[in-house]
Amino acid sequence: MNTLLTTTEASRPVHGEPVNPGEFSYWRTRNRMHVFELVLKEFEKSDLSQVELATRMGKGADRICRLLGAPGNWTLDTVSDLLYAISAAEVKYDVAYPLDKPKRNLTRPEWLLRVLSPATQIVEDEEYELLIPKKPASTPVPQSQTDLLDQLRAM
Amino acid sequence: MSIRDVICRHEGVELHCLVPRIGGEETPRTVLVSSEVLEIVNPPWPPTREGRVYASLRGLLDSFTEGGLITVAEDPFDKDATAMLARVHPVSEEVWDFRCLDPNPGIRAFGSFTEIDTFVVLTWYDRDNIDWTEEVTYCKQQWKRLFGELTPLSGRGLNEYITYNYRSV
Repeated sequence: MNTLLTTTEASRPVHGEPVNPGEFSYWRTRNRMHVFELVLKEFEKSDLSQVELATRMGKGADRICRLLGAPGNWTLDTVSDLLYAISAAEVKYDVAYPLDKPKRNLTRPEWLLRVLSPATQIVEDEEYELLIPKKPASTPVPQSQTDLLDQLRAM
Repeated sequence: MSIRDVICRHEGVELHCLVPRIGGEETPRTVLVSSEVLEIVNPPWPPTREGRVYASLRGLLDSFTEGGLITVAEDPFDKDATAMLARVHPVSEEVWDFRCLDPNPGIRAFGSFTEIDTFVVLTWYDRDNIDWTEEVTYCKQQWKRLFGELTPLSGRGLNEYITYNYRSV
């Protein structure tokens, strides 16, 4: 199996085409995790108990426990209420463009960079050298989905 | 042969290092997936409820790899229902599941830690009508098929599985 399949990079919306619902789900999951981490860290910084937070929010302790247990589809009002109740805080809004970030230098841990062919024996750690699959000169360098789409648009 | 050696041997064929879909800093954790899991966590996803669930699972796994906050439950019978990662009964088997809870009933992805901050996801199942014993057995079968007699990581506390940015629930 082509290992490049594991590096299916996120792509940008395409003009004139609906976004795949799965892609929305992926980005929503990221968003929920960011918000969850933001709120939970503020809560932990505050030294409040969940009972006290429940009191401040006028909700049951079990509800607060569930909220702080995992990311969820929180409304903006829920996020606002939580942050205010915790520490009179509010979200600081800004926009990020994660697809503009440069690619990682390492896409896997260094120990996984050893590539074994059936003929290669496993050697002791201090003896091995990193083997990166060397592509023949005639093999085109794999392009990201973004590069391919840019080329198609330019045609 | 160590677990790392086995992973290296299987990588690209039976096991696949899951690289987060969004570039940036190096990743503090590693997730490897079996071919059957790779099929559902890689786009394009079908425009169905299942597709949305698979994409959410990928989001969860990528967040884990990127070092995002993760809530973890060690005790299968005393845990928060919303834990993102939980050990499954029996504890001795060291099978854990990533729990993608939305859209409900969500999906479970089973696997084990091979070393600290490194998780191998081997199997998955829709949360609806799940038979836990069957799923643990199947996951263990896949582990044995790939790793033979080598055993997954077994630690005394969560800090022996994950080094940082986790919460015990």
